[in-house]
Amino acid sequence: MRARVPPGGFPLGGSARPCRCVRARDRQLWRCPLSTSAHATRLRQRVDDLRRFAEQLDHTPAADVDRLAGDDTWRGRRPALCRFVLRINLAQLHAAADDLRWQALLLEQQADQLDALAALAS
Amino acid sequence: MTWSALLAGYDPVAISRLRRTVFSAVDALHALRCDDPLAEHARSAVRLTQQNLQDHWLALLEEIMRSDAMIAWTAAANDPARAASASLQRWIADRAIGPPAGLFALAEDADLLSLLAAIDFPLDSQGRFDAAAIAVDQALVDEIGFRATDPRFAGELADMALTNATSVAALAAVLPDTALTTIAARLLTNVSWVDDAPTAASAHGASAVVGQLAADDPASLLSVLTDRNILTTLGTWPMLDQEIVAGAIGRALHDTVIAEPGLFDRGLDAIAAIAALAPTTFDDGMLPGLATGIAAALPAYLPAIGPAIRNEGPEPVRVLGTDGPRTLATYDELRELVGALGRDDEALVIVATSLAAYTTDVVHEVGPDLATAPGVEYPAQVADLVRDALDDEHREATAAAAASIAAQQRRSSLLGTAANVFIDATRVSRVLRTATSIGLGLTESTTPSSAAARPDRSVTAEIYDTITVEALRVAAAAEQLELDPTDREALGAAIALVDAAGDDLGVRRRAIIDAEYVALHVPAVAAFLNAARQRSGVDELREDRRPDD
Repeated sequence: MRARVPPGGFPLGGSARPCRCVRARDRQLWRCPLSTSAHATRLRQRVDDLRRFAEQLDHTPAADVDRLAGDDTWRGRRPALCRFVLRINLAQLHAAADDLRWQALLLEQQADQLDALAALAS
Repeated sequence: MTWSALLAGYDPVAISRLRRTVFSAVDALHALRCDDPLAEHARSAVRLTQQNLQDHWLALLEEIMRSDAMIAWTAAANDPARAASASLQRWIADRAIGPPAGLFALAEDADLLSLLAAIDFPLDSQGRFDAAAIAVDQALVDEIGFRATDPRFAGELADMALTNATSVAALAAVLPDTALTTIAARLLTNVSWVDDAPTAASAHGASAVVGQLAADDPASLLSVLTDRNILTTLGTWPMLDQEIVAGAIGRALHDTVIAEPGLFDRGLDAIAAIAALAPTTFDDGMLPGLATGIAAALPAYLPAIGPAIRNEGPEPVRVLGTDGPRTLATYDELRELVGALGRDDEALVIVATSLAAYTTDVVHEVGPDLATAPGVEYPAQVADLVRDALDDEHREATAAAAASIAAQQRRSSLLGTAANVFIDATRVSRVLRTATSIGLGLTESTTPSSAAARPDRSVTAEIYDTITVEALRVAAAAEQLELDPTDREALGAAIALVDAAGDDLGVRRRAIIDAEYVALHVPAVAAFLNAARQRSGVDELREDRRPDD
């Protein structure tokens, strides 16, 4: 039987299995094999990945393409269509980058909470 | 977009740089990696961007590189934002280059037509082409002109002309005659009667195409003048440029036939088609363009029509064409045709002028044999036809004035022409020019405001007088009559008084009567004149003469 995918995807990893550490109830039931600090470290790695990816999306060379494809270079319906679609692509990329940063912030907060829990436990 | 905007071309350096950048972007996007499940949406955005760049951008750029940018160039003209790129034009001006030669050679027909359709051709305040504002891209013009030799492309061009007449008409000068004929026929058989801007543009386009066709190949225009629909349009569609139509019709119906006698039958076909429409379509007259055009062409056909008129009513008028006798129309149809022409003042003046000139020509052609040889009755029969056709006193008076002045002026315009010369091309053309110029000059002088100057007589009486004067002129010069020098001098003096009458029609009329009295006292001349005027048809013209006026 396949594991149910939680809304919003798998919060703590890219594996096919749901992370058992995400909620305290799960942690209690399944006994997460990772320590709290290890979870926090893992989360911060993901935060870094997401923010780096967001940065890459914001500075993709596709933006250069749009800049170089003005009327001075070419003009017409098909070029206009290309530019129109590309600008939608660029807007989607920027929106995706913002979303990634927001998700990264949430993960970062979770990591902070886990660190705080670890500090309390010790 | 104006033609000057089309001088823009792709910057090969910029295109190449763009292509490299797209490649780099595709590679960069391909290299982006993030396995985090929260980045699924972002990965989708990257995939879509990559797909767009590969499937659309690179494909189009490759197409441009492969085909010298022609397809994209053509598409460029369809861009709604068609303003010329000032910077690109500057770029071209700086480098003093235009579009590469043969730029459009590989373009699809549809692309060329789209490009042509996308060009805005500025019109002046009268709604005509502003030729000075159109800087024609020769490469495009040459390519379209070349392809238009293909009947299929010419047909597409004609189809396009129905909605973009101005675009097609602007290229009329380079289009082959066959294409022009197709386009003219299409435009003139698919007309709108809505008084709006598109119809006006279509009419201007049609006028330009017809004018160009008449200038380039009037024989082709003549060939379509047998089409009922086209004739109907020419005679009833008021949005056509009447001046252009008049010139085109005159050129096709007259000049072509004169220059190429082998086309005379084709001209007769056109006259027959027009005459067939006269009792119905042109019952209330026709537009000035067609009317004056036909009237101006009459000198080419009167020598054939004159001898052919025998019986009135529904009897066929059989003329001698190139291939032998043939029926031109019925007498009634010809009468209706002249009646339709007569509803236009200028056309009426030209008809009467042509008739007077024809009369003078015939008298001098027959010369001393006037009393015995056939000939002088032919213009008399035409004059009778014209009188029958004019059912209005004003028109009759106008025609009479025109004929009178034409008879007076024709002598001076054809001074030096030998009396017995057969009508050749040069002479007929001169008659036409004379008739037309007189006709144009008379249009003003025969307006109702100058009614007092008009003789209260019919055109038949004026033709009778013309025959009289010209016969006297022939008699005075004829050696066969062996006139006494004194008599010859007296006759010459009488004729000189007629000539001196100028445009004063009343003085001229009295001078003609005086000359007749002089002639009656010279037996040889009197016999000659009476014999000539008693020929069948001529004598009947006397009925309308009222010397006591």
